[in-house]
Amino acid sequence: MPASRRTIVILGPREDAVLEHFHRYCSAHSLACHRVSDPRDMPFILTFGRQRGVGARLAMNGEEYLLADVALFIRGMGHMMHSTLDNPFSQGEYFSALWALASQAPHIINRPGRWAWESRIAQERYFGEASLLPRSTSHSTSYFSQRLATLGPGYHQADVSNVTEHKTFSFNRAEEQAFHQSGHVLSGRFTGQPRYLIELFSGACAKVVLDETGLGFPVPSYLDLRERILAFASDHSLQHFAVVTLFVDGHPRLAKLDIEPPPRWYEEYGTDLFQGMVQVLLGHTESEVP
Amino acid sequence: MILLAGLTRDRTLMHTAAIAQQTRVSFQFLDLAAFCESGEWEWDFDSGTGVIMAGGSVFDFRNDAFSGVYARLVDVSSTQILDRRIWSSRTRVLQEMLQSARCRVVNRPQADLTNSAKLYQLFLLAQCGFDVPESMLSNDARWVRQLAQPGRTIYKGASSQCTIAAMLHEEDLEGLDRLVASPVLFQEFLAGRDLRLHMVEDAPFAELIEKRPDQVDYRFSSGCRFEPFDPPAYLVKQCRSYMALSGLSFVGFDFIVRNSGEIVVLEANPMPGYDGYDRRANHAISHALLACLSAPAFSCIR
Repeated sequence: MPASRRTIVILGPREDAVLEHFHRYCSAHSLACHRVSDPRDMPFILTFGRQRGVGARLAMNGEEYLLADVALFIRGMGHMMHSTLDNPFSQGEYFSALWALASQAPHIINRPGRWAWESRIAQERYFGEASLLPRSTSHSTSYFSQRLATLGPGYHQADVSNVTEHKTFSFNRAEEQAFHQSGHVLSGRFTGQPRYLIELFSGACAKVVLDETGLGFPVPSYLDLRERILAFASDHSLQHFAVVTLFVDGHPRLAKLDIEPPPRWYEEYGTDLFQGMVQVLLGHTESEVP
Repeated sequence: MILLAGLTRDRTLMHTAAIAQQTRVSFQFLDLAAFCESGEWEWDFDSGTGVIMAGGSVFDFRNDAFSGVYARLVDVSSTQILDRRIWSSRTRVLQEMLQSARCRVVNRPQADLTNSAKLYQLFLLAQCGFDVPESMLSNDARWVRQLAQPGRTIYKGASSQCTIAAMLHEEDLEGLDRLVASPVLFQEFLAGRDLRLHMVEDAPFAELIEKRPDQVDYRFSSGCRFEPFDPPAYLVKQCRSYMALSGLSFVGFDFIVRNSGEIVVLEANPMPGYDGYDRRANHAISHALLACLSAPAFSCIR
């Protein structure tokens, strides 16, 4: 089957603005696509064994497809489970099943790995000292206040909790207040110079969303880290992600590789980024669609 | 001193505690429920140390106070009515702390999540050289009816949530319409004996289980017969290969030894409920585990 005949399947929660915009983009460019926001609306079967290897089929709106003939864009899988399925057992079974199915998709953004769609542990192992590791955690806000007093005015924060991680993550200078509001589960990632560079990658397309470095883009030391990031992404079959880099005394440290960037980061370059995604999914630009 | 971390209602962990007590291995017990309810902590990820307080006890990781931690941190937040979010967050925080702890941790809580997706884990096990069963995972009755063979196909849950494996019978086919509510993993029924192989680091402990021919899941069957088993070298090598891939140091592997002698892997449990096998093995698994946890400081793999 020619690459251009693939059908795009956009899978994720109904209220996800990025998925909705991408769906509109695909429709506006007459690309064959399905939007699935409830896993029960997508019948599938995945087979595997020593004799036959891997095989998979899925169906949407009464149409059947081989897994090889669709291109999957998946975002917010955990959130979709919680927003559509009442039963925690079903949520777990569907999450596991779609993890296995997506891992075998030949055309996908982004492929789940050994930690499903969570790649932080792999990132920390891969980047080591080049990564801005979590530094501390406590139930006690006074503990953080004491640390802040010794560390100076600026710091980066990220939430340890998987429940609130995406809700509280901010690329702006974090305020101490955030620790107090969020209570028990925050982990501070401290640095003396919070200057951020955020770059969003979508296949071959890369766009700088924020540059606070004041050093001009690209800084040579960032290019070295960027090369490692792209190698990591390639090794882990990640094609669409944001890289949040923090410059500490002029040296870049990876703060976060986010495979589900917030919608506001798409505002300026949405069309370019969606073009890049179409290229990844279909292997061509929409201008080449017959 | 070692640390046992988990729930007091976890019979496997309580078994480990009992054997530690019997063998005079010095230990502290960190109660996950007490930690979720009222725990306090200050943890420094750079050094992998800190102080945790729960249930009136203090667990001080500074100065290499613990040689090892046996962690069985099961997230039971979904069973909480009032404090579900707090339990979930705090369980995650404790997992993060032990993930980074400077001492040996068996097993690091986030080392391997693939048992949560059984078919995905089978892909990895196949990569390690194991023979795997014919499997299919689906939420669609129509496709399953086409491929499943009643009397020769078993079914079970797709995730790590506890389910009982059972034979698919002709009369079950009508009920397959309920698959849309929750996908199910179907596998060929393999006649033979079950084999459970625990690996504690490099050391294998294996037991064969003989059940009645009409039984599928020996864990929920009566009248099974158990006997020690000397696993073939190639199988232990494959287990080591999976442990290297996953970063786990204590794993319970499940197999079927077919009547033809072929050994087919079913899954690898990163938090094995090993107490029953251990009793029949005169606590050999516990002794190996406690020895591993009590070993002098080493340069650990995080």
